[in-house]
Amino acid sequence: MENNVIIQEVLNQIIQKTHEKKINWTSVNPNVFRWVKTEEGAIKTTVTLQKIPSPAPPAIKENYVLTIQGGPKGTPSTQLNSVADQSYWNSLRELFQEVSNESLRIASEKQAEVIKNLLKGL
Amino acid sequence: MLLQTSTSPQIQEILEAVSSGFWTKFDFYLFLLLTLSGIYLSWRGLQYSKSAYVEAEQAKNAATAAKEAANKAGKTVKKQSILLAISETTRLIGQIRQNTNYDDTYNKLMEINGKIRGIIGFYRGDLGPNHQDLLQQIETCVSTVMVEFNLLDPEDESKQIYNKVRPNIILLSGHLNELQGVLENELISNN
Repeated sequence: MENNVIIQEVLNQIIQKTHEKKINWTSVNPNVFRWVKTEEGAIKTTVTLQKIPSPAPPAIKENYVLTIQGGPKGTPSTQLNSVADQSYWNSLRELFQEVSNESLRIASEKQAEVIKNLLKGL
Repeated sequence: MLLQTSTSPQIQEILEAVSSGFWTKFDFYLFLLLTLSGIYLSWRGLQYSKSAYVEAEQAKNAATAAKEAANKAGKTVKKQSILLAISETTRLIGQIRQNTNYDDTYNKLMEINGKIRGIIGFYRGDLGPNHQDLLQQIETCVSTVMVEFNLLDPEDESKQIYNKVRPNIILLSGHLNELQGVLENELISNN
């Protein structure tokens, strides 16, 4: 199997796992999400997904970058960049949308929880 | 003679009319006058048309020259606006120093990104093919600096943040200075 196909398959699995809420993505800023993968309590891998605004007109597509670092502040082990390889654009975009939706859902849940707690003890 | 004797009075009249000279008729002079008047009026009309054409051509040339002058003036103003935007962007880049923090750097980078997008969008069409690479380098540089910055954590130390973004913002600053030089040269050569 070609490496590209393997990577696409893994990306699809990450999308699926994100949809199933099995991956704990956190928002760094509106265009950046991070997943810190731990094993036995120790940080093993840091995955950063980011959306880079389209550089300038006439380019209308934004770009997506998925960086995998071997530790909390390690140097990038690998990077999928839709500028360098357009074949990842769709998958990375889909993943970013899924993560954004999940982030919005968590924010909405937290908001509801805070408002619900207002009435506690009254 | 045989014809004269054997024809009817109407034919006789026609034969008389034909046999007399046409120049002796009043009608001939009337039509001649009308024809000559027509030719004269046509000639005058042609002269007026020629004169109107020449005037229209002159007006068109004047309008084209005015349009070119307006375009040139517009392009000069445009270049001056871009030079101002470059100067502001370079100032912002200079404000990212060793004592920077995550939020401040993020805000400045977003502002720089917006300004660069404005400069490129505004100027791409006017820049010659020889300098299109320069815009491409600026775009790549801005994207790279954002990608590198986004790998940082908000809790990271100032020095670490600065060291991460420094190589690319220095490079970006260099490209912007080059673009500034190109614009200034164009302004000088156009004046």
